Amino acid sequence: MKKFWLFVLMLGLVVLAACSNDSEQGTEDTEGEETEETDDGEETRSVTIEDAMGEQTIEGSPKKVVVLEWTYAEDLQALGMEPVGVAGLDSYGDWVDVGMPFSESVENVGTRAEPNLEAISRLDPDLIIGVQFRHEAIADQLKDIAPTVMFAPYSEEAAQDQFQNMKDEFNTIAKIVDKESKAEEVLTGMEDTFAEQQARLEEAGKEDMNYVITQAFTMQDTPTLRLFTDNSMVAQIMNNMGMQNDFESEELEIYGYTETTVETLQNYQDTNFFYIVQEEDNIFSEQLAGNPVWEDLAFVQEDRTYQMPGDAWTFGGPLSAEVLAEQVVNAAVEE
Amino acid sequence: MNAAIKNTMIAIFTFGGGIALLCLLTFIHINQGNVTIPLATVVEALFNPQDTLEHHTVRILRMPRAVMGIIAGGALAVSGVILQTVTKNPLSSASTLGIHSGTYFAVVVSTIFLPFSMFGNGIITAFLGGVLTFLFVYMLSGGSDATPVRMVLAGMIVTFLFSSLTSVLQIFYENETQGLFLWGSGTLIQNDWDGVKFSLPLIIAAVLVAFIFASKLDTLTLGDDVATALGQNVRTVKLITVLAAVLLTSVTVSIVGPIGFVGLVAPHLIKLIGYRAHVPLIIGSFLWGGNVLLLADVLARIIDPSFSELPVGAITALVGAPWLIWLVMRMKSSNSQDTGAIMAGKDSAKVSLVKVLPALGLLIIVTLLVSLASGNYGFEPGVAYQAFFGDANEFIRNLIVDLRLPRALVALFSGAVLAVSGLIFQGVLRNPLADPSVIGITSGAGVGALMTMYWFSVSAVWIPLGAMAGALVFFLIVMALGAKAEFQPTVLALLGIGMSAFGSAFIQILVVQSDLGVASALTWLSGTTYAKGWAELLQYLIWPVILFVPLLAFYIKTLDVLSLGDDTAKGLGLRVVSVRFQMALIATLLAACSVAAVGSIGFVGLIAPHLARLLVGSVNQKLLPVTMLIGGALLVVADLFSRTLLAPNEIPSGILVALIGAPYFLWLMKKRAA
Repeated sequence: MKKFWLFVLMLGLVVLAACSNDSEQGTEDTEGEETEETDDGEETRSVTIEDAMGEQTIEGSPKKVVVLEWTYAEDLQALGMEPVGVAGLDSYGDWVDVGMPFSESVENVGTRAEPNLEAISRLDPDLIIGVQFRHEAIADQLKDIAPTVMFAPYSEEAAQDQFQNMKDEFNTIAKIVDKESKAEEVLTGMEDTFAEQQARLEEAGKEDMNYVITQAFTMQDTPTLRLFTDNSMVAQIMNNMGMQNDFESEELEIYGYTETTVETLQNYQDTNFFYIVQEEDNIFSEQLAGNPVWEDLAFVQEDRTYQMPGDAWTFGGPLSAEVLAEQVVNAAVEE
Repeated sequence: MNAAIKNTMIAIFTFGGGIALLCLLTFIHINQGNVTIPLATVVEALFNPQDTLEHHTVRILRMPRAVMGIIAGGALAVSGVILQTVTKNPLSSASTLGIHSGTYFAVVVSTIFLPFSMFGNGIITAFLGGVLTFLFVYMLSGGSDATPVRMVLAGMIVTFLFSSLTSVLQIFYENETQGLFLWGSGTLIQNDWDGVKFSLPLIIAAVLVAFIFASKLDTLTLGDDVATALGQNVRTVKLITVLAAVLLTSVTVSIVGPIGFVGLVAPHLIKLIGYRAHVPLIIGSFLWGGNVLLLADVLARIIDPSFSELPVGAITALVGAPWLIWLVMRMKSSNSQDTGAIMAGKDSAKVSLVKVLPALGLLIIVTLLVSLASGNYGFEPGVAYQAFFGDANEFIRNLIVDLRLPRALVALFSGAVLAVSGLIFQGVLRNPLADPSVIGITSGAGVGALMTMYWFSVSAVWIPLGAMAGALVFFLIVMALGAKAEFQPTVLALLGIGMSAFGSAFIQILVVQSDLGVASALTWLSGTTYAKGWAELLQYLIWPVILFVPLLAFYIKTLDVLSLGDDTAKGLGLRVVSVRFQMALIATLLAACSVAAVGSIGFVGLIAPHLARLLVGSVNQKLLPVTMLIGGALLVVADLFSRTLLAPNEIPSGILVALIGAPYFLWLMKKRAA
């Protein structure tokens, strides 16, 4: 039996060795070690940006970009570029509609959770954009293919103000692909849109509305409401237009909303209630209709509820933000 | 006289106390919610309802939830009583027999593909799914002649199969099934009395059936032969009562989701108190099942007072699993010598190693080559050949060497390692169902990994180490508990199941708490060779093989001696307890390495040893190399398909292993039952 314990000891040592290997790997920076030769090798431009993984320098101005999360596809579209590959392309259109469909040549590179390395590699991209919470584990493999930027939209830091974070990410992407003037144009355009929409609100005599906004859907036969907190993009946009959010959460919600049930609404009966529902899953006209816990709420009684369309994408980029602002005001002014 | 008083006291405690506790819990329960309602108002709402919002909240949102909790808990407990009696297996319940997984799978499928069939809470699909699953399990395990072990075995495999299919759907329809994950662990939320109105009549009907058959069930506990001799139609009784049990389960699942453990714990509580006759057993179980579930729901909302719901099913498991472990520890060490008699392929035709090993080796090499030449555009042998020997295509060569080759090798090695781990566990526990997941190691690894992911939110690099730590901790707990029982096979397996359930509950809670990461966590948990490369191979897989295989080569003989039974083994001078512990430790380390590399791939350790036994019989020294090769081959094939089948989308290879392995295994069982 001595032999056995000797093996156990050896094993322990090997595990330790593996661990130390690991931690070294984590801190090692393997940037700029690209062996791939670009055709026009003579690139003089290089930008240094800060992403979720730290600082990095990217050479040249990438033309062929693969995006592994939808928001960044939209960001590129706003900058007048089209990604060469998008993860989760099949279902993109079901959830995001900014009126700019992709052309036929855009390739699907697998799911967002598990993008297909081989597909990405075959597209021979010169930039990959991913998100830390999904793609951190494959960061090394991605970097072997092309320079990789990872954002962390749902980190503590970014969650403080998701709208600002969206703009920061947008600007970072613009900086990398050398479209900074275009980005400025887009963001100015967005602010203009907000101002226009705010004017529409004032015209209708609806300035300074207080509101609660929710995205609602059925979950296991239960009406479930996501109430957006002030740090979310949609609340920021509404606040930008001079509205005030009544809903507050005790803790910072990293996704920008609190998931809850209809019971919670009793605490906010003086508000104006905005809701985003899918047409085929309108919980307020279906399950909750006739139920006194909904019908007896003051804002229902006094007709202060405003429905928004189901394709209002609350997790998008600047174009989605413009669409959202318009949808909010449409809902608010249409009596 | 004293005895009579004592019995009366026990009855008062069991039934009176149960009802009192039910009232108390209900009251606590309806005072919990997202809106603060003063106690006086709650009381007033109960006894003097007015048309105010607060009263409506209590009566329309909170009361139904409490009532639903009671009847769901009761229903699950009664179905547990029936199933335990009919299968003569103290560990039977809707979850161990696969009924839960079948109903849940049916619901997921119809949510995605047949949304129109989801009327009435999807009860129709859930019930059909439940009945079909049970019939499936029943048929597979040999119909009315099914032995308890065979039935649970079939139930487990079917559960594997359905969970795999369900995971596939959840990965591919991330957004459509977003709301379903919580459902997978059950929740009691209600918005009105509809759920109660819908389920109460069905539950009452099914419980009535159970009462009508109570005396027949009593007779059944004496054994089928005795019951037949007493003029009972055993088959009919079994069939009808089981249908009632399935109905109870499906109704609950369709309204509140699959909530495990209530059906296991409540009947045992009543049995522990000393009731054996079915009438008090059913009444008592119903009461205490309700209590268990309500208490779990109260706890869930105390633990997580925020608006986002903790799944009550996870809490029942969290509370129920230690309970099960305690139950197991209290069991009188019944010297149940279930030797390897139920090992599949025990006495089948033996092929000599000289033939088997080269054949398997060839199979693996061919598969590897095919795998290297296949990618997103299918099978391209020409391109691959060119890349290596025509040195025309640098790009494809890099693709193969950097992406495909290491991945295939990772699959090969982790498959082999897992298979050996399973082989050892089956030998040590003398249990054909044993594999790393049965003994709780896989879920321990999952817990460790997810904790590093979400709690310490360190970089993903540390996840495998977390997995290893988790696996070892769980193993040590199971062993520490098992040491008391001298590592008896049955006890150890039960402890493992308890720990697994505890771990799974923990995992579910973690996943629910971290909303968006669900899909990535799910893929990891189902085990995948996705994006694995040289690093994993060198860090976690190569050295365990180099270290342990030679050691095992001359050490594994002890398993043969163990399989003769403890007494014989002791007589032959084997230090049974220490050998068991050491072998199990090796198996754990192997499993942990594999989990660290590729996540929780569960089926290989279960199936590869059985296949190997079919080929070369039951001598462990022969089994070792064959098992390794079979395990490796299984995973290499699975990996190949997982990359190419739905390219560019991935299918987690662990799921594919289950999809390849489970039907074969079921066919095997069926054949042996005939």
